[in-house]
Amino acid sequence: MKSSRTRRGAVIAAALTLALVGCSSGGDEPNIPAAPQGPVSPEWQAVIDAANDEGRVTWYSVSPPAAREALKEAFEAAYPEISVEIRAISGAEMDAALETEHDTGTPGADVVSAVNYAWADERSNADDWFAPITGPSFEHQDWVDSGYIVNGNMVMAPIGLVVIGWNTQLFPEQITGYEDLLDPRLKGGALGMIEPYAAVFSDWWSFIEEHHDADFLERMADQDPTFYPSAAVMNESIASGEIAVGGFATAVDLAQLKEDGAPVDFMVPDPAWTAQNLFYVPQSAGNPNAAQVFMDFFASPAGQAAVAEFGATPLKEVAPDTLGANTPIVLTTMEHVLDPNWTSEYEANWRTIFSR
Amino acid sequence: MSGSPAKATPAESGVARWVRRHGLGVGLALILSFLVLFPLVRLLQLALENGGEAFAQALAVPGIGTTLLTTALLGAGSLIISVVLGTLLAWFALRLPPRHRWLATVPILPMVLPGVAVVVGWAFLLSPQVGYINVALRELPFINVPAPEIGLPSGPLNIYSVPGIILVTGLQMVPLVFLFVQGSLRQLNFESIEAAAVAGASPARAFVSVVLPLLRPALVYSAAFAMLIGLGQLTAPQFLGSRENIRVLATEIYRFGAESPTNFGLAAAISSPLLLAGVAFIIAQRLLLRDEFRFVTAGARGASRPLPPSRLAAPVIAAFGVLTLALPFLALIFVALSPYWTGQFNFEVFSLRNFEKAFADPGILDALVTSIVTSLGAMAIALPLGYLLTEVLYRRRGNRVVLALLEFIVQVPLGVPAVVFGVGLLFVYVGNPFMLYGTRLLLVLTYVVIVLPFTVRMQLATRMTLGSAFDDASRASGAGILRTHFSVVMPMMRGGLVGASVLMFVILSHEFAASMFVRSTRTQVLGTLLYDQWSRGSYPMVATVSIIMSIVTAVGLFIAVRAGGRDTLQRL
Repeated sequence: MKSSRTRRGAVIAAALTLALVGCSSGGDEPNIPAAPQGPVSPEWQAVIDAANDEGRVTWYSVSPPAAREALKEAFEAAYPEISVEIRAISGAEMDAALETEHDTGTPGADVVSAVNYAWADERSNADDWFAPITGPSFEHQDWVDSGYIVNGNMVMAPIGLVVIGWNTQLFPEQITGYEDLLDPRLKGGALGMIEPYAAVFSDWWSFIEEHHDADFLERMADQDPTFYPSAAVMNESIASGEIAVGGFATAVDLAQLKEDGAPVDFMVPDPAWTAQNLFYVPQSAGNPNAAQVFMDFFASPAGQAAVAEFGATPLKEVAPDTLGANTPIVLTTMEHVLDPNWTSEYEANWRTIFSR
Repeated sequence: MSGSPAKATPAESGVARWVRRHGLGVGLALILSFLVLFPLVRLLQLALENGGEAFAQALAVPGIGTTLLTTALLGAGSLIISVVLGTLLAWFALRLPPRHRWLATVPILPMVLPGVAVVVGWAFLLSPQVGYINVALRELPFINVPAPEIGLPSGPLNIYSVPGIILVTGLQMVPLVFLFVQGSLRQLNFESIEAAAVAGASPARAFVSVVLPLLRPALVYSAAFAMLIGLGQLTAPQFLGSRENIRVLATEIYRFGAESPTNFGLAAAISSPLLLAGVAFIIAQRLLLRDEFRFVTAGARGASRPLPPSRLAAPVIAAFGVLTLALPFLALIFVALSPYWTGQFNFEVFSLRNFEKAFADPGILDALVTSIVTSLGAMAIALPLGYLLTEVLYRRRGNRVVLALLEFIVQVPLGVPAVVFGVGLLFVYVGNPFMLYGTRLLLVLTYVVIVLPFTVRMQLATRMTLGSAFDDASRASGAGILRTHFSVVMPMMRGGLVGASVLMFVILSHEFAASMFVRSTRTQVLGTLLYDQWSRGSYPMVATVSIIMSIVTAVGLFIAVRAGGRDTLQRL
């Protein structure tokens, strides 16, 4: 079981590497993506009609808030008869809710975007959990070549780059990379970091270790950072001034806060890490047609332009306009996050170093 | 039903007579056993399965020792805060000058205003770096907090700590002690206090030497009750403790009962100490207070004239109100009007944008509707149920065992923490044959359980005041049972019934602990939605939802006071 899982992870990782090469090789002239229009097959039109009748899609999401709001807004503009309800909950609560909905047949999530890799991987391979993705946008050659579509029922999307953010009033300098986070002046709480209570965060710490000196973690532990449970909370804390610098911020949310007038800025590390969000439609969806239409829009150029502006996309016509276009990107390592032994051992080691 | 006096006919002599005499009591006992006891029994059963394996798992949970210690500290600390402040405020509330009598309501408000909103307000005030109070305190010349080279200074106070959680929990329990102590104070013979004053004792000495000893029974009872509630608190630890991994039993029950991978057995095992403590409390109360209507707070006033007003009374109560209510709500308003949370006041950026966003968000509107509908639904069940229970308990007809069982069941939701009911009800109703997960009905049933003691307590108090002379006269005049109740008893109890209904609404409109378990992601109430937003860091929206929630509660409170009179809150 474990070996097959690891093999599958390796295949996914290899496919992603190929896809990312494709990501950064977009054309020179950016296209302006438009909402899906033009002739559609009678079968798909029937799905759209049924979706319009359903009129609502409930999206359980851990995606960056600004990214999901952008996708919601673009979708509702393209499909004014369908409203999107976002339910932002933690991964552990989401898994529990999805399990109960599955076991009881209670309609809950229509679409999910999460980073619960091991949980979703197991269910993606089962027959009675996720519905096949049927939208025509996934037939686009870029999606087919990307390897982002798993088992025909789950889609991976690196929609939010993890960046280093700071409060410009408290830290009026520039940061050039993770090494700067070891600045002794940031000792004692001015620096915010993420706690690896989920596999995805352990993988981020492992990425940091891999790209820095062997004793990076010990030196970071000496900084005595403030720990946060998610990037979303850390972004707000940078804006509020609770911390001066945050090592696990999301570009899309900091950009939104900056637009709102918050004294924040960010830099994209080289390489930058991002967690591919897993999008899927549970079979227990109460609005299955609206879910498919939403997924299709998400995969369309218009949807990708909205949701992946501060991340990366496999669509070549959209890729040049994304933040990830000019940065080497490292995705979550599937061999890590699909292996519970790796996760628990890494977390235990991390906790020893950080005494938490 | 018929107008003729009850007379046993030969046909009635068997089953029908038994049904007439015992039917209501036994029926209610069956319904309540299922509603209240069944989830708890299932929990215990679950914990004891496989030779108590779940208990072994519970003892192996990393940090369980620290969790137990923190829970004990929370119980003891919040007890001290609530008993000291509650007693002091009750004493001063009785010594308010006539024109400031309205201030006597202030110490009760923390109980009726949304707890989650108050907790969030405290976080905005006492967050170490950017809490408004901390920012203000650091401006004081005698507060010396080391300034780091980069970033804001931290402190001097920190809400994300065990003392911070204890403070917030203790303040929320002040009304409970206040009401108990006030009830006892009103029955005191103040002549003994006057005698102490005549003998030369200062007011403070008279309070310590005369009043406190006389209050001992009320203090012991309310302290035990406050400790029990403190031990089972979820709100403050869940909101404020997660950042520093501060855990108590209630948060662990939530972690294992409502988060993946769900382990109901483990949650049940961790619930057991709280469940047993609650049941022990109710049994001890039954043994110690043997008067017949032990869940009625005696409202009779002392026979002697009131105590002379104190000049300190109004300032002390007003200061409590400002510190514990006005400041948290002001902080909420500031954050709700801001595009993002910051410790600075920038009035230029204030706008109603967050409120516009909230009222355009179908999730928030759904939660608002669900909060109102489920609260009204629970009231619609709990009020007649409470009425029938009141009738049975007041008349004390029927089997003594059944009566004792009813008295016990009615008390259970007061002693057993809401988190335990939450996880028990979720477990029972998430599977067949009672599949109610994701429905508003599950919230309604949960809420009926939670308000059961309140509705019975308030209706019984009104029923006792009314006495049985009117309904006896009605029956003697030939009216049947139903006509007597609909035409005589209910109209005469109208004030109590309306007051009880609206107070139930006020309590339920911001229920949090049990709702966290029995909600689903799509069927949310305002409190649970607020928690989701808090844990995702949407602070301005958290503040906005808190304000909306408080407005809903305030409207309910306003109607309560209008319908039930000024002393409606005192009857809680």
